[in-house]
Amino acid sequence: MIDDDRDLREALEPLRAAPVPPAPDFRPRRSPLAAVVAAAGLLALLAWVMRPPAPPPAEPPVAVRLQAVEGRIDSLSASTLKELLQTELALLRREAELAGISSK
Amino acid sequence: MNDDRDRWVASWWPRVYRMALAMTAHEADAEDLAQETMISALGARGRFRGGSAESTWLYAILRHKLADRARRRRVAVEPAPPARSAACEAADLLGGLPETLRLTAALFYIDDLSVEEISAALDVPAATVRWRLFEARRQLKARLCRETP
Repeated sequence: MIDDDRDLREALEPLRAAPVPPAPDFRPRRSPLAAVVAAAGLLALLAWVMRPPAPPPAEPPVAVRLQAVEGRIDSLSASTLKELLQTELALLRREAELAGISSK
Repeated sequence: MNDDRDRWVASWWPRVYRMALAMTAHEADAEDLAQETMISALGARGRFRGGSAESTWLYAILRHKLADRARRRRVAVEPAPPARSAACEAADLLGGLPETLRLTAALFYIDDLSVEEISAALDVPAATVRWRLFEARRQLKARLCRETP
């Protein structure tokens, strides 16, 4: 039996000594799609954080505001309110004067 | 942790590959089978509690992978194999054996496991291993005599 085992091992020697290919890299990898999605998400977050501030709403032109206040004064009966609006009117006229806009 | 995994792979890969080659007699198939076995083992390594020898556990995975491949082969059409190496031709000597005898003989003659180690690896009594080796030896000798001029 020992001789048989020796003979068989000898016959199987090419298999016993078979060259072994290099072991593959078994390290877990992230899927490329997951990496792309993560990168896109980061870029979107960065773009949102670094967005320029919203511009303030545009103020109507002085002439338009003057017209609006003059129209309101005419329709008011309360004297106190009229006085306040007269003050605003005066300030608007001064602003228009400084801006080089003619007013009535 | 990567170093530990790399060392573990380096220590087991050659043994698993040679066993796979003994069972498939085809280098590309052996490499695939060995890779599948190692991938499963690496995934389950954290759950291995040491209740048996690591070889027992690993060869059990190899056996399951072999059974899976056998099931797949029943429906697959195999292409003609390329020119064969001496190792594959030596594996052909084992190829004539039924799978249980073949695996037992491969563990004994290729991996040099003892009867007790094979008994643990295959989860069969030592007496069964001895009988399988007896039968494998008889059939292999007959085949060797036929092939030797």
